[in-house]
Amino acid sequence: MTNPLDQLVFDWNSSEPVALPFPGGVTFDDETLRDGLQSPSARHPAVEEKLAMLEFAAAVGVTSADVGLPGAGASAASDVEALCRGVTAAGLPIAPNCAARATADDITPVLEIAQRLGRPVEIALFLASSPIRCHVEGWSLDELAQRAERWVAFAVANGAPVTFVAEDSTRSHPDDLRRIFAAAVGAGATRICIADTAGQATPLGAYRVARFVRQALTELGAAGVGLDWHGHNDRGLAVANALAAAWGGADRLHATALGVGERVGNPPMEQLLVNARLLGWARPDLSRLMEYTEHASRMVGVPIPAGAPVVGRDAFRTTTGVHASAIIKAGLTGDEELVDLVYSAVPARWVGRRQEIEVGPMSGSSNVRSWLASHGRAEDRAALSRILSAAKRSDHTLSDEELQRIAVAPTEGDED
Amino acid sequence: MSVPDPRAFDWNSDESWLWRPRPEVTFLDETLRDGLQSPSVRHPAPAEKIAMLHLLDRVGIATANVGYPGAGGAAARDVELLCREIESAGLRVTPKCAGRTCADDVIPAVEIAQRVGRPLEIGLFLGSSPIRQRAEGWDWEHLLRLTEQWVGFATRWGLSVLFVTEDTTRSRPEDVARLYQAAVRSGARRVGLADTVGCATPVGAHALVRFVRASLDAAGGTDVGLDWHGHNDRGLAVANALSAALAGADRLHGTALGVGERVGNAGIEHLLANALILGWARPDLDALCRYLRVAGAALSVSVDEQVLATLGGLARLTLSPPDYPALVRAVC
Repeated sequence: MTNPLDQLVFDWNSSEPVALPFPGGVTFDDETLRDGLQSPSARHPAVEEKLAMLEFAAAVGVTSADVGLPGAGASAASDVEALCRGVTAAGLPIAPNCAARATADDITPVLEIAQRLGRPVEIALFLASSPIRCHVEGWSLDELAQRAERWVAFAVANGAPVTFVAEDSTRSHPDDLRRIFAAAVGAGATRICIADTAGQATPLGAYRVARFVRQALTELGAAGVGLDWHGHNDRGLAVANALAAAWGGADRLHATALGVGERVGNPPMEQLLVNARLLGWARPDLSRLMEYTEHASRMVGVPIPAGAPVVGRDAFRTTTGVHASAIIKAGLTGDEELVDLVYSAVPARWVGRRQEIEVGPMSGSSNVRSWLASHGRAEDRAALSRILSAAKRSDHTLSDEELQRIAVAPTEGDED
Repeated sequence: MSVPDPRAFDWNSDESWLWRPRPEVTFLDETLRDGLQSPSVRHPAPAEKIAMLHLLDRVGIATANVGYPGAGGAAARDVELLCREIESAGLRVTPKCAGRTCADDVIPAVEIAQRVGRPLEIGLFLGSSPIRQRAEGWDWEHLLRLTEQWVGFATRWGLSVLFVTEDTTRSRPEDVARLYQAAVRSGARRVGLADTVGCATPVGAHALVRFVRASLDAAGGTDVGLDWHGHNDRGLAVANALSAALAGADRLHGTALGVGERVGNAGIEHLLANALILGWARPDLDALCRYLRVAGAALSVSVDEQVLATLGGLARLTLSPPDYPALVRAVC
């Protein structure tokens, strides 16, 4: 995209190559309905709400979603089946997958659902154990590898595409990982998921482990096997780790709407989508991103924090004098793109929003003039003076109601 | 029964050029200036600001932005109040204030420092990106003159100057180098790089810091400190700060609960937790949790108890052998 505005922005981010080491760009797996609903604060939504979640996910370019763990019980299994049917019936371009522990009790329900559906359902198969656990408990790694092989083979033999989830990958020794992956891939797994179960990875670590696994798969003759990354936000690095994993070779990134999930959650899907688009790794249509997160917020019972990147109330909102002044001057040039760029990393219009200028204690006269102009009082100098004075004395951003009141009548003690 | 060393493999360390073992890093808390630019926070009363200052001092944070004297009125009064509190309570934290390159902002800071009778650092900021210049209609030579004039003035009048280019992460390398060199020649002791709009990635942050560090060193400024100040518009603020430190930034900015302009800054709690794990610093995590609760109440921002619980868990990763059976979960 050649754009005169590109000359105005020096892009330090492109000092390093941003190309991904695999063709076809990066895809996303939405874990809101499984990992997201495990969060301590989550409620239990109805199937209709869950299906709507999948519709919104598909609308913003997500192509696969974990629809639950049928092995958790009858109602979980029934929801999973209803969701798989719903996706098919609506023709949604999103492939459902199910989590399952390496047991017949978990895997069989998924196989049965797939059979009744008449189409395969991907299984995200995990051992509920890790190489570290083996060392701690005194188990042999061979036993772990054998279990992986046995249950992957079982699922594959019954027609399920399998993603083998390697828990605690980010604290596992390369040799141990290689051993487990060889078993899983040898048994027919078509994807491997690197899981940062303890949430302790840094971007450099995520990059290195993803690059190692990509390389190890190639050496195993399994270059066509896909690579997932599933991380957590314990260190505040979830988004950066996911991007770094993609750089290292992970072609599918797991995320949840608003980052809801275990402990402090997962990378927020909306942030991954925006970053992927800014990096040129994907071209999702983000026009319904606000609806996606608003629905998730209602479904899970978690409010969208005002400071949530891209989708929070404050994402494109300022009361700061210097910022408002620059945004207004940009507006005077008539260049809408410049308005969306001068104090913003993410174009508000991607998600159907606009830059907002408000009035508070850090405001200057530009903020107030902007508000007056948009409320039919552009020439009211007395109101300008009253509002600015009241704003400076306030301890919060003034609401429209407060501003109206101050604009139309003098407030007490403002004879300065 | 003792837990054997599970020999968790550390993928995070690497001897490549990207990694510096144990960078010398300190922290600057911007809650009482940038933090208050959040459209959603309540501005704390003076007594609340003082309580926050005491707590962040207990955490071990080296410097705090005490406000923007050029804003006049209550803001300027609070700057002086907090400087006096540091002095009278014998706090270790050092105060920094903010200001544009103009008399209205610099002179009040000089006067406060003189009245309080102790050193004050000022972060003088100036927009350096072509996009800001276009929007504002600025002239390049004018920017250089402003830099030399006001950095020089503030330095001569006894302030310690941190010179900050706003929007550094969208500025041209040659522009940034020229402005910083002018600032250092005029007396600046530190330079600040600002990811004002939050557009940087860790790779970009690393490249920019590396460039500025090298350009300062080449111009004889090896003793000039380098600050990193970033925003969270892409969800990368914490990662960018850590990356900046690995590239040579020795002071990282953050705010309590990540509050700040638009979607805010790097959460200082995440910066400190990561610094603890990485062996860069030993903040007092109990004091940090108390600080976050008090700051949350003062700012009218809710504190995520999960975050506080996680900080405790992260601390266990370094302070004692990890309890792996407890940490390994059945589901990822």
